[in-house]
Amino acid sequence: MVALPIVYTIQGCDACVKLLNKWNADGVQFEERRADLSQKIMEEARSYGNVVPIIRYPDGKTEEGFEGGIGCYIG
Amino acid sequence: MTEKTSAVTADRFKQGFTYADFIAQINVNQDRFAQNDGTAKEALTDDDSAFFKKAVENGCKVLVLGEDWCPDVYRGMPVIARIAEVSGMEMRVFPRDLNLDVADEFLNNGEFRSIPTVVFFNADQEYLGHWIERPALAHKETAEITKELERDMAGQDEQAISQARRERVNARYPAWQKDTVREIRELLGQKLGI
Repeated sequence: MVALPIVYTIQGCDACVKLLNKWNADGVQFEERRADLSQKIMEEARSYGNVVPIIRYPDGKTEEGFEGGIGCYIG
Repeated sequence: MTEKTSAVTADRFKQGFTYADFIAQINVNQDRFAQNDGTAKEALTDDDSAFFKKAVENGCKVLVLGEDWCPDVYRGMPVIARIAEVSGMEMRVFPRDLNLDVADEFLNNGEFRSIPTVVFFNADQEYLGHWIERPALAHKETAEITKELERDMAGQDEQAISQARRERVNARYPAWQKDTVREIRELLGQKLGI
């Protein structure tokens, strides 16, 4: 089974929507985890950063935000 | 004098959550709302309480647009709830993403659906004024913290910088709550002439 990038998002985040739209259009395989739906996923996202979208790649590399778009601070 | 009419009619206003009901149905950050409820109790002076009671005597009520994941909301909404509690002001909470028509009436800089957005109405449901997101002090100090981190933690791990930012920002929350009270009092003072 191939490990996929994990994208932490919340509803209503413009930068999250832009990232998901771009990756879907490009055919990128990923797993989305909604931090606004679960405290467990919220804490997981916070362990990697504080602005969604947060991308966690299989090699451990982490990115916050998307192409200069305004992400959402999750504290 | 009112300046605009909102899509929020008296009937729709009543359909909003009470603060307690909003908290009861949120998915995340119950602990952070509770923590900020605690510090909000210290945010108002006796003079502030007397002022907001006068606002209620003038018919003032308040709507708050918010979402549970947002730090500006779990810091700011407890301040509004505390104002409502000490003054008897009617407060209704509307989840932003389920009420985009309301959010679009009060865009930040005409562009952003920032939260919390706090809208005051009179007893006839006429718009009095609104306040968005965070006090000016928070904007100023957030920028200062960013500069401090760039200076103090240059080249360090991004996750360590994120954690340091979180700690420094959170430490300022009680002061920002007090400044929220000051700004809202200033707004209502102007609108109600009290």
